[in-house]
Amino acid sequence: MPVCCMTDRAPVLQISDLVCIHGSGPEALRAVDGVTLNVLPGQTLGLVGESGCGKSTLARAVAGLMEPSSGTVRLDGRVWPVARLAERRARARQVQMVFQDPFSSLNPRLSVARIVGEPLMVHGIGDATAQGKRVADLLDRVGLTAAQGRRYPHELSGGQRQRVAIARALALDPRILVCDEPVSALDVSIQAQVLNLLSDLQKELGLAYLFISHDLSVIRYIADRIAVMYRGRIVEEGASDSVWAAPAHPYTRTLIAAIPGQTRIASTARTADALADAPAASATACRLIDRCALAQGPCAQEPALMPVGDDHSAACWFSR
Amino acid sequence: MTEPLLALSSLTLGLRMGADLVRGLDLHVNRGEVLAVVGESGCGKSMTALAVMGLLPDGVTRKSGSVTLDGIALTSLSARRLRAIRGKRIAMIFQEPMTSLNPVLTVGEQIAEVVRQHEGVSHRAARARALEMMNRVKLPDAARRIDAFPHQLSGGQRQRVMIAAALACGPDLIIADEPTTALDVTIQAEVLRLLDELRRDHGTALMLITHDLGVVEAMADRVAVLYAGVKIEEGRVEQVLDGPRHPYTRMLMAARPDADAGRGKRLVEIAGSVPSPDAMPPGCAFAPRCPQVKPRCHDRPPAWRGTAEGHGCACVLHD
Repeated sequence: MPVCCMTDRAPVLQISDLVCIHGSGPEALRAVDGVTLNVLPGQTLGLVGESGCGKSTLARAVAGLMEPSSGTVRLDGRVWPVARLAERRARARQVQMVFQDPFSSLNPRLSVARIVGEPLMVHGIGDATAQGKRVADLLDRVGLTAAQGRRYPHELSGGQRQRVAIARALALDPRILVCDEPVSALDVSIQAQVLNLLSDLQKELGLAYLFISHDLSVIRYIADRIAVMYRGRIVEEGASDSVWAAPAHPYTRTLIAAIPGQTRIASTARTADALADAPAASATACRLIDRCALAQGPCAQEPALMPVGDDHSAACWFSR
Repeated sequence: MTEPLLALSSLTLGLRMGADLVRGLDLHVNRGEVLAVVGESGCGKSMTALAVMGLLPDGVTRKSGSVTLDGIALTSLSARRLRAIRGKRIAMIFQEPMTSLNPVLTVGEQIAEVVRQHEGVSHRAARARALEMMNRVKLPDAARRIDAFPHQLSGGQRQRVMIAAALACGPDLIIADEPTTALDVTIQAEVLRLLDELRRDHGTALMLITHDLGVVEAMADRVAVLYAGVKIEEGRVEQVLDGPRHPYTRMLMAARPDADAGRGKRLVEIAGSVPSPDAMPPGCAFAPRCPQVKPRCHDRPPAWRGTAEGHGCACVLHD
C-alpha cells in the first residue's frame, strides 16, 4: 500500500484496488490490475509509464469515461457510479479531463467560446449573460483573447487549442484535472507555455492534477509525487524528489537511464525487445521477471508495494 | 580540408507559385559524422531531408540551390539515376515504422527488395542478406521474424527492420527523420544505441532530424538549428549546447523541462508561435518572438557570422 501522507487534508481523489479489464474470456486484458493511489487537494500526482501500461485506461476510469471492473474511484470521499446520468453529471463537477491531442478533442464545428461554454450549457449553470461572462473569464485565465474566442479550432495553433481544452475543463470549477499526455503533441517552446499555465492555475485555483506522461522529465518538472506504472500495476510511488534521487525499482532506474543525454544511472534492465520474445511468465511472478537483470528466485512471487523510505514505496524484492 | 560527403548549398524549397518553406539553406555532413538538424514543427527539417532523397511531396519544389553527394549533384540527376543512388548510397529512416513499411509484404521481402533492386542478385542471395541485416540490427530470433509481417512486430522491432533495410546496401549516409519519436523511452534508448554502434562499426554518416535536444546531446557530433526554414545556428554539439549564441537556441534549451534543474522552476516561454510561410516577416524570422529584438532586426534577415572553430549563427547580436 502506498504510504498515505502525513496531513490532515482528505484526498480529493482516492483510487482503491482499481481493476479495469478490457474484453472477456481468454482474451481479456487486465489493463489496470489493482491500483491504489491518492491525490491531495492542490497537489500533482505524476503517473509515468510506457505505452500499453494502462495509464490511459486508469485516466478514463478516474474521469468516469468507463466503469471499472472492480475497485473504487472516490472523488471527494464518495463513489460516483458511471451508469446513472445524475451521478455522472455530479462527478463531472469534481473531475475533468484534458486529452493529448487538441486536434481531435475539440469539435471543429463549434467556435472556441461555444466549446468552452458547452459544459455550462449542459449543466444549466447560469443564464446566457452569466455564461458569456464566465467564458470570457475562462478565456482570459488561460491566456486567450476574446477575438480568439470567436474563432474555430482549425484557426488556432496546437498550443492555443490545448489552452481551449484547459479552459473547457475548468468551466465547471472541478477540483481535479486528469491530464493525459497534455503536452506530448506540442513543440518544446509551446510545451513550456502549457506547463507554466498549468502550474499557475494550480496556484490560483488550488487544483489537483493527475498528470499522465511517458516523459519522465516532464513528470519530474510538474509533479509533487510520482507513480510509475508497469503492465497495469504501480511499481513505485513516492515524493517526486525521493523517487528521482533514489529510484528504488529497477524499472524506474531503467526509465531514468533511458532519458537521452543523461547517463547518471546505469541500466539494470535487459533489452525491452527481449520482452516480446520471453515465454509468458507465470501469472504469479513479478511482471518484470523477463526483463529485469536482477531477477532471481524470490521474483517468482509478485511483490507488493513495500515502504523503501519516508513516503516512498516500491514493488521489488531487492528495493531495500 | 576534405570535401564533405553531403553538401546542401543555398537550398530553397517552396510551394509551386507559393511561399518558401526552406530558404537558402547551407548544410554539410562529413564522412562518418552525425549531424543533427534540430527545430520545431514547420522549421523545414523534414522537407530538407526529403529534398536530399529526391522525394519532395507533390506541390513542393526546389526553387534554387543544390544537393551534392560525394561530388555528384543529386539535384541535376534524372529520376532513374537518382533511383540508383537512393537506397544504395543514401538511405532514409522515417518516424513511423508502421506507415513506412508495406503491410502486405513480409519484412524479409522488404529488406531483400532493396538488395535486389540495387545489386541484381538472386532471390536466395537477397534473402540471405536480409537475414544478415536483421541479425546486425539485433532483431531477436531473426530467422523466424524474416517471414513476419510488419503488424506482427512491436514498434521497436519495426524500427529495427527499417534500419536493416536502410543498411542493406551499405550506404554512406543515412537520413533519419525523428527515428525514435514514436517509440517508448526505453526502446528509444536501444534504437539510438544501435544507430550509434552501426556508425562506429561501419563509418556510416548520419543526418539525424529531431526536435529533441536530449537526443542531439546523446548522438550528434555537430548540430544545425533551423527556425522557420532558415538555419539560425550551427556548430559542434558542445559549442552549441554549452554556449548557444542565438536567442532562439538559448530559449529552446531553457524551455525544456530539464530533469535535473528541479521541480516547479518556471520554464522559459517563447511567446507567440512560428510565423506561417506565407506571412514571413521581412527581417529576422524570429524577431517577432525575440526578447532581445533590435529595431534593425525587422529590416532585413541577419547575416551569417561564423567563428574559426566552426560555430556560426545568424543574429545581429553577433555582428
